[in-house]
This record gives sequence, structure tokens and C-alpha cells, in this order.
Amino acid sequence: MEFQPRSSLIASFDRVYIDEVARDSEVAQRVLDLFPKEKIEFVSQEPWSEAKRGYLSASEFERSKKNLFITPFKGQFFKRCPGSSQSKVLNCCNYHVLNLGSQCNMNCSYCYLQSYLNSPIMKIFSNLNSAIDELREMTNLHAHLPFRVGTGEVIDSLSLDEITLYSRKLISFFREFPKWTLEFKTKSDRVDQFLDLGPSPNTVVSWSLNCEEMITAEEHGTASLENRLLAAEKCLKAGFSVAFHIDPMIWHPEWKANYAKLVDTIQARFRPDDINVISLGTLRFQPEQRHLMKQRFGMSSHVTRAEMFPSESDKLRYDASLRHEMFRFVYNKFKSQSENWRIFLCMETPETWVTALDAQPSKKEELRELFRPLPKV
Amino acid sequence: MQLKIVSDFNRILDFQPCRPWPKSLPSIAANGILIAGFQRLPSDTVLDHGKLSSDLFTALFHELHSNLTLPEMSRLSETLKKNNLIQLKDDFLKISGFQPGPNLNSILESLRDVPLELQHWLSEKKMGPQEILPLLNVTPSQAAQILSACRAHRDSRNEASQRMELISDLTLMKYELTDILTQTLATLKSLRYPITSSRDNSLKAKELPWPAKLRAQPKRQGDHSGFDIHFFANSPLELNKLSDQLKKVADAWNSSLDQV
Repeated sequence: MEFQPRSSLIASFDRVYIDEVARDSEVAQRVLDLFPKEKIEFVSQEPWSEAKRGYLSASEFERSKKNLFITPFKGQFFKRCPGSSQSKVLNCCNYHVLNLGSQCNMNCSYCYLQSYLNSPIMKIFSNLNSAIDELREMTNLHAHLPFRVGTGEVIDSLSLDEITLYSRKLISFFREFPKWTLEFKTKSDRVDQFLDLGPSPNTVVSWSLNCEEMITAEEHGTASLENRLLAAEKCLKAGFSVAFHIDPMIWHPEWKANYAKLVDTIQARFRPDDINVISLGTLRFQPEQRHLMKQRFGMSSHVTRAEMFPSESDKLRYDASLRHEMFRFVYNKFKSQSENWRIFLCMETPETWVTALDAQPSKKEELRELFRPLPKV
Repeated sequence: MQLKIVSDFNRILDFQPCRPWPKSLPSIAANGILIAGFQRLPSDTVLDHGKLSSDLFTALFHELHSNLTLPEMSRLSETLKKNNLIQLKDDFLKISGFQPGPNLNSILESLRDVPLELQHWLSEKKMGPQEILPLLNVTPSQAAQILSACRAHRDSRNEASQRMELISDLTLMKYELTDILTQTLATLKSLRYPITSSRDNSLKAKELPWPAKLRAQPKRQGDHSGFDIHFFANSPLELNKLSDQLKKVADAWNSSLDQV
């Protein structure tokens, strides 16, 4: 497919490194077509990898967002969501992840990659076919089970998709397995590159949403709320499923008014039947990343100033009663308009479910399927 | 190995280690560098290990100076730099259990500006890189003032680590450093976490009908606040009685929540 990415995306990278062994991959060939020659370098090892170290410093983290490395991934692509490793303390929604790269070209102040990544460069994995082979093994075994597979765990699913066009191959693959769901998760508005493949009801294009005020203050370099919603409307019209993740809700003095406005906006433009699911989450992050966040964003951010405490899952979270209040507020706001909105809490404890939403997910008819245990992979 | 004298060496790694080298032992050298027993007379004896491979040299140094603290590592880095031996730094860091990298480099550099007596205090407390990281967000002079405050408050390692982070945060939040240096940890927490403190205080202010034989203290445990309850029962009958009384407390607590 002839699809030209925005010039601003190409210009946002200082340099693109192509692993010699990935030279003949489709994505490397596309990069060669799209980027100016002077920005491209072939390498035999990962740049800046000579010193293996722990957490990246602020300057290394910034640099890693501006340099791209095209390389094959040597590990297992298909994994359970990290939340599942804490299923003793968190309710697990059976999400699975397929990592086709790492790092993100956007810059949210709360981004968990700040404590997750130890690679000093953004990566796009060149061996999509190996990922699809892995998927095929799983689908051959469990074609009848409702597996949900997301590609947006350690990289935004769509913000670089204009370069890779991976969405197109994945959508086509998932068509063969209607019980399985492919989920793209994004804060971009980049969907035009695959719309012609619709309708594809088992592809869920999902947006992390926030109130406009928090998008402006904390989600740097992302699409505006209006552009995300416009893109969601395009996807619906083309026959894709759409989901929203109001996550992370961030406390700020006007949080009630601003999140109420967000819910009103969603309700004015979408019907409950339009939206596959809405997940809610409040701000949370690993304790180790707080110093890096302060170095990168100072203390004027609502995220670095947030009043956070160690929780059962070891992450820092708001006080439980504040979390419950925020969940109840947004949940009730949706449900007061229609009981048909399918809403669940992301990475939350059973106690929060009961306190904020009155019941465990297994007791909620509309969510039972989502939380039904699946075979471990 | 052979015996030499101190004046034979012009490269001396005197990083002012916290533990003095035993007077009864000679100074030690290898690869033409004096690496232990620094404050000696020029004519004093040195046990010279001669030429060692880089690995053996690092291992010998580690045996002579095990468990180096961060301030010692900071002084060692400076000494290595002055002696044109900076290439050894990462090996010394690794063998001492530190992870080389830009974050650690920044910490070591920031410690260089801290007065020696405060460096010794940090060494005594065995503060690690993660605990010192918040000081990178303030100026060197502010960092020294914060460390002085921790010492003046006679903080334990854990208290000092909390105080460093709270004061650094509050300084970035535009509080006057001089106003907060003398505050207790409880006051610093209430300034840093005003909303949660106010919620916790409202719990303290609740007048609940606690039974006389029971001790209930409002308490924060991570992301939860509640009551820490202690009681002693000397019979099943008394336990039943207390449990009935506790139900009344729960009802009263519940209705106070409904009023919010």
C-alpha cells in the first residue's frame, strides 16, 4: 500500500539505525524509502548498548525517543499482560500483549516506560512474521477461546504505524480467528493507514482518553481529545470496534468538572453499543520512576506533585478512598445516562471493585466474559 | 612482591577512606600506584605487588577497601581523575556493588561538593544511590543544608531518606528552604501531602464509641488509612461483648461516612 507518513513524524527522529540482519525486512525497506539517507545508518549492534546499565538517566531517556532502531526481536512476542503476574492482589482481565517494538515517540509525564525500559533507543522489531507465527501457534490451539491481544504495552500501537504499516498484516491475520480480538491502543489519531481494511469487528481500536486539561498538561506530543474522538468516529464508520481507556485519571482541583465534561463529550458522540468497553484507571507508577519524572517534568506537573502512597501491588497510588471516589464518580456518571456502558477497572484490587462499583467483575453480567480465566500461555 | 618506600610513588590514590589503614601494616602499592596506607612519611615502607593485570589490580583494591560507601566512591572518583586513572572507575564501582551509569555519575559528582563531615555522616548511615537521588533536584548548597538538617535531627537512615525527599520536593514546590529545614517529618508530610493529611485528620477527629477496654489509633498504611486496634480479652464472653461493641463502632463510622 502506498501510504505516506506525516513529514513531522519523519522529522521527529534524529537518526534511524538499521540492524544489518534486518536489512532485507519489509520495515527496513520502507524506512529506506521514507527517511532521508543522511539519517540512516546500518549497524551490527544496538547503539549505546556497550554499557549495560539499570535505569536510564533523564538525558538518555530523552535521546531514546529521538533515535530509532530497526532490529529483530529474539524473545517471545506473545505474553500475558503484566497485571496477570499480580493476580493475587489485582483482578485480571485476561489481556495478552504482543510487543512489536519498545519506547514511544510521545511524552506523557506519567509514562511507565520511565521505569520499565533499560534500552537506550526506541525499537521497531523487524520480524513481524515471527510474531505472527507465534500467534498462529496459539490460535491453532485455542481458536475457540476469546483471547484479547493488545499491541500497545511498551509502544503506542499506532503512532509509528504509518512507518511500519504493521496494523494491516495483523488485522488481516485476526480476521481468520473471529473469537480472538486484536486491540490497538493509542493516544494518536493515526488510523487512515488501515481504514480501507474494514469492516473488521474483532479489531478494537482503542484510545487512552483523558480530560482535555490533563492531555494539555501531562500528555505531551499526543493527539488532542477532539482528534482522538474524530479518529474513533472514523474507525466506527469503517466497521472497526472502538474502546476507550480513561486511564490514568489524574487528580487536580477541578477533576470532577473536567472528567464530567469528558464523560458528557463521549456520551454526546457515542452510544453505549458503539463502544466495546471502557476501562478506568487512576494514576499509578513504580516508585523508582518518581525521581526521573521530577528531573524531566519538575514539580509543576499534577503527576509529580501527586500525593502517592505504596500500594499492595508495590506501585505508588492515590489514597484508596480518593481512588474509590474518582472511580465511583466517573462510573456513576456513565451509568446514570445508560446502564449499557460496559465499564471495568484496570489493574485494581478486589477491594476497590467492591467499594467503588459495589461488586467484583465476575458478578457483573456485562464483564463476566472479560474476566473468565483462560489457559495460561 | 618487593619492599619500597612511599617516596618511590608519585601516584597516590588517597581518597580519604573512612576506615584508617592499620598503623602496624605497611602501605600497599601495585602498578606503580600507592593504593592503601596513605598518610605515611616519605621514608615509610611500602609492599609493592609490582605489575598486575587490570582484574587482579581491581580485586586487590577491593580486598583492601571492601564495602566502600557512596561518599568514599565519590572521593575515589575524584582521585582517579586527578591521577589520570579514570578508566578504572567503572571497574571499582562494579566490584564495590554499584551500577555504573549516568545517574550514579551525577550522584558521585554532587557528593563531591558536600562538606567532608556530612560525607562522613552519609557514610555512617550507609545511604544508597536511590536515597540520595532526590538531592540531584536541588542546588549543591541546598543539598548540603538538607543533609545538615538530617544530621541535626539525628535521623535514622530511613528518616533521613524521607526527609531528603520531602524537603527536595517542597523546595521544588517553591517552599522556602529555611522555613522547612527545622520542621518535623510529620509537618513535612502534611505540607507535601495536604489533601491526604486533611483526610487523615478527619479520621482522627471522628468521635466513635470505642469500648473502654480497647485502644484505637488512627493510622496510615500505604495507600489506606484506618484504625490500628488493640484489645485484650480474657474470656470468650468478653470477646463476644467487645465484638458487639465493635459493631456499634462500625455503624457509627459508616453513618459518619454517609454524612460526607
